[in-house]
Formats: sequence, C-alpha cells, structure tokens
Amino acid sequence: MAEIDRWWNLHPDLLYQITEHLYFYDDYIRLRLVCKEWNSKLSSIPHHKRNPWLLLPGTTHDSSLNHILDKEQIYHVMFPDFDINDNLIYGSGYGWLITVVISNGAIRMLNPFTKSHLDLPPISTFPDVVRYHRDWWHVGEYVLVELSDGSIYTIDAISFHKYEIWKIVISSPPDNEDFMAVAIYGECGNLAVCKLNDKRWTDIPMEEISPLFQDVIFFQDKIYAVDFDTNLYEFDKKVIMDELGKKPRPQLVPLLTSIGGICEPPPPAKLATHYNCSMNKYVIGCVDGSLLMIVKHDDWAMKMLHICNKFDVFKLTKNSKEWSRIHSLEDYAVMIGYNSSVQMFPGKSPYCKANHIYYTDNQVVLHTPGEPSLQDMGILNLEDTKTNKILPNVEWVCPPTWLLP
Amino acid sequence: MELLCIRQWISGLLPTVKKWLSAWCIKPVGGALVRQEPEYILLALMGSPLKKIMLCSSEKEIFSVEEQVMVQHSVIINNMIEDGSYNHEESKIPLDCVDSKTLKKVIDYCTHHTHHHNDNQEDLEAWDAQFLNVDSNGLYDLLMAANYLEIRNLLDLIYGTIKNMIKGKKIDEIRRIFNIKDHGFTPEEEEQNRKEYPHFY
Repeated sequence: MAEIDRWWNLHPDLLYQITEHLYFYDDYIRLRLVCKEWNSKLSSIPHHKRNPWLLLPGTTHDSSLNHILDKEQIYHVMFPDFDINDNLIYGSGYGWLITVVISNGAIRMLNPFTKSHLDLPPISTFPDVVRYHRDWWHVGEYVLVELSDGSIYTIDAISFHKYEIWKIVISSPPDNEDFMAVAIYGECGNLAVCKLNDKRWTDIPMEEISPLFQDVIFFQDKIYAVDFDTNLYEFDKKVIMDELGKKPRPQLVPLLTSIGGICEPPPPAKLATHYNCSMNKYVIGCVDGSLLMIVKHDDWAMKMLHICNKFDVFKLTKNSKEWSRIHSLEDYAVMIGYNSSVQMFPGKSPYCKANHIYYTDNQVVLHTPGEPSLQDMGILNLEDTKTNKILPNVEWVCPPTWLLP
Repeated sequence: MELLCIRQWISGLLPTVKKWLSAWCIKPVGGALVRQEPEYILLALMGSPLKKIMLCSSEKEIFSVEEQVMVQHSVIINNMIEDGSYNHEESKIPLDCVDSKTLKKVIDYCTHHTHHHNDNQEDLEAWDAQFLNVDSNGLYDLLMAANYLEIRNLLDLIYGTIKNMIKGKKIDEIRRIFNIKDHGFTPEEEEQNRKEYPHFY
C-alpha cells in the first residue's frame, strides 16, 4: 500500500463518518478546505444531515444551552458582519435565512452554511409605504403608511421595520432563475412578491380589504396562502412571474380569477373566536400532492402558565372538495414557525421523529423584552398530544427558527 | 475426537440441562449477541481450552485468537462463524486487506477489551489513548481494518481521535498531520479559499 497521500483518497463513506463526529460546524468547513478530494466529496451544505436545524440567534458559548442539548448537537456558526441586535429573522428555507435589518429596513438573504448573502428589495419599497419622512417634530425617521381603505397613518421607522412583515417565503434557492419571494406584510396581512433583481415589492391585489394572511407557501407551481379564517387561496406562480417580467412597472391584473383567489373547498372548520386566544394557521404542501393546514391555538392564559398549545390538523387531498380533520401525520413530521412550513420524512433519524409537530414562535409583535415565557417553541407528539417545550426560559434577541439545508 | 465423545455423553445424559442451556444467551461487550452451543458452555465451565480461530494477514502470517474475543467485537467475523462459512477444524479467515502489524494491533484491542471490560472507565480510556498513539499511517491502517471487520467501538474511538486532530487547527497543520502533501486545489482556488476563510489559515 502506498504510504503517501492515502488520507487524501479517503472513501466518501468514511469521510462522512468523520463529519458525523464533528462538534463545531467550522470543523466541517475545515475538512472541505484541506484538499480538493475532500472538498468534492463533502457538499458545501451538509445535506447528508437530513436533520432540521434550530437556529438559535445569540452569542456563542451560551451556557444555558449546554446542559440541555448534547454537545454533538450544537454547531456554532459565527457570522462576522451580522449584528444580532439589529436583525430579525422573518423567513427561512432551502438553507437560507431571510432577515430584516431593523435600523434601515433592508431585507437580506443569508446562508449560514456558505456564508453568502444577497439583498431583496428593502421595506421602503413595499406597496403600502407612502414615503419616509424626517422632521424636527418627530424624533427620528418615521413612515407614512397607506392602508387598503385609503387611510394613512404614521409610525416611527424602527417600529415599522420591526412589525411590517409577518413572514417571507422563498420558492427555491436563489440560484434558480424562477426564484420568487413572497411576503405577508402590512396591517392587513396582504401579499407582495418580488423576483431577484427587482427594485420593489409588488402587491398581489385582493378583493378583501384586510385578508390577514397568516401563512403562504410555494407548492407545485402555485402559491397557496391561508388567511385568518382558514380560507385557502391559490395563485398561479407562472402568471405572476410573467406579470412581474413585464416592463414598464407591472400592474398585476386586478381580476382575481386570472391570478388566483379563494379556493373552492370551504374552510376546514368554523373556528369559534375566543377573545383571549390567538390562532396561527400554517399551510404545508405534502409529498403526495395534498395540503395540510395546521391551526395552532395559543391561549393567552396558557402562555403565562406554560400549558400546552392545542393543534388542529386538517388535510385537503388533491382534487378534493373538502378538508378533513386528521389526527396523525403518520410517517411524517412538520416544522412550522418563521420557516417555510414544511413536511419532513424523518426516516431513521434520531433527531426528528415521525408524527411530531416542531414549532417555533412567529409572532414578534407579542414579544416583550424581559418576558421570555412569551417565546414559545416546542415539539408536539401527536400520538399522545404531549408537548416538549424547547428552552422555555431562555430569552432570545430574535425568535429562533428552523433551518433546513 | 476427544471433544466429540464428551459432546455425545452430555447430549445423551442431560437432555433437560441441554434444553435449559440452549436458551442461554451471552451478551458480550462488543454488542454482538452470541448464542453458544450448550455443549461448549459446559466445556467452558469444566475448564476446557477456549476455542481459537485463525486469522491470516495479507502477509500470510497466521494469528491465533480466542473465537469469543473476535466474535464479540467484529460483526464480520461473528457473521462468518454464525452462518457456518468458517470451519473450525481446518480453515483460517483470510484478511487480505489487513497487514500483520495492524492485525496484531486489532487483535490486541479486542482481546484487551474483552478481558478488561470490567475495568473502570478511566483505565480503559487511558489504555485506548495509549493504543492510538500512532502516526497517521498507522491510524489509517487501523481505520481500514476496523471498517473492514466492522468493529464498532474501535471505529468510534478512531473517529473521535480524528475529530480531535482536526478540531480548531489551521488548515496547513491538518494537511501536515494527515500527510497530505498536495492539496489539489488550483492556485486560484486556494487563494479564493484563503480570502473567504482567513481565520482558518
């Protein structure tokens, strides 16, 4: 056997085994930098780790984490240009994070694995922004915002940057030419879209003044969104792409029928509104073409006392006219929160279990500094409806989110 | 031949004992579940010499080792014995991809861990650390052998060592440790890497 350069030629399976034993993610990067052979055998994004990641924004060596998670399960990633106190994460998908810079309203996409980044149009280009203003009367910059009914209100720029966006979802990694991002924004929960290199966000016009969308996904060439009342809306992505491509500035056709609108099936359940309760809806596309809707009930009282949240799961099979209530996700798990709501097939993974709902908080508005109990993350086992809260007493600068490479 | 007579005697005289022993499983340190033939258990109890197997290195050197030791640690050898492809009386197990020096070390590891599995954790770890005090070539050979023979705990030990060899080190140092003389990147690629991750160099 040749003595020299044998490690160079290490079999991919063995190399992969080495990465399984690494603690710091930086060591994974080191392995890829050692030599060309290893670089080609190890993907830049650790896809082989089919496990979802929970992104915990904060300083490294946070001791509160160490006794809760096994050492091997935490990868520390340093982001040199990223000020954790100035950013809020409003979306994640395909290994990318979408963040809003609080100080200037820029919207950035960041990949913590490859450390690359690119910008989306800033908040100032959202359709409801009339203009930014600064005068001696107000402290700091403020924004004039137009509501769907035509009325205008003012808000200071910092708060505007924090609360304008509910969620941003992307259709694919940005190197794809069909890339599109959709945002739920504004007081009325409207939808806006943009493509790469767009200068502004374009509104998807709705008949309702306040549709109050709560979740949106790209699924099979369509955009599906669910609103406050659990109505499902369907939009045709291709049509929107074409409209966006038109020059000069595109006007999305006001008639809903050409882009899409409310879906035939009626909402899954007439949800009784409790005044002290908020409900978050999530929509997920499944491998078999059906759609899932998850309704997360958060009782205010429950939040204070750390009682389990309640989840209802509904399924709409392809071409069906009705939602049906289901009580088991069978072999799949779902991850919801600020990330693009997804269904996962955990298989034999020790870290992700079937028939579980992995959820993180996605209501920045409700976060009060100094009250970590309001930040809600956990894992629900649908079989016994028991919830495992994740790190309930740790305070986060911005809400943690799931990240799937 | 002597063994055969004893076996027949036991089978004839103690059928109920044999039945009881058939259900007796031994769970060794390595994790492989081994079911011993009842006759051999009795023989072991009676103090007869433990069964040995022959392992043959790539250099055609033959090593004799207790069957129980190898069967506990190596999934491959355990399977060979279980499915009967190894004939005790005459054959040896050829291991063409393992040289004598490495094979001896592997046998050392398995033997020590079988005989000392009741030792306290610290002593075992100290022994392991001493055991893996080898250069990168030796480590590579051990990794290949452990992988081929599917010795799980030795593999975990080796990977743990490799992890420590990488952790926090500069790239040039890692290349030196693993004897990688030519990294294979073009000058442009190497420069790009250094620009992108300056703190690793």
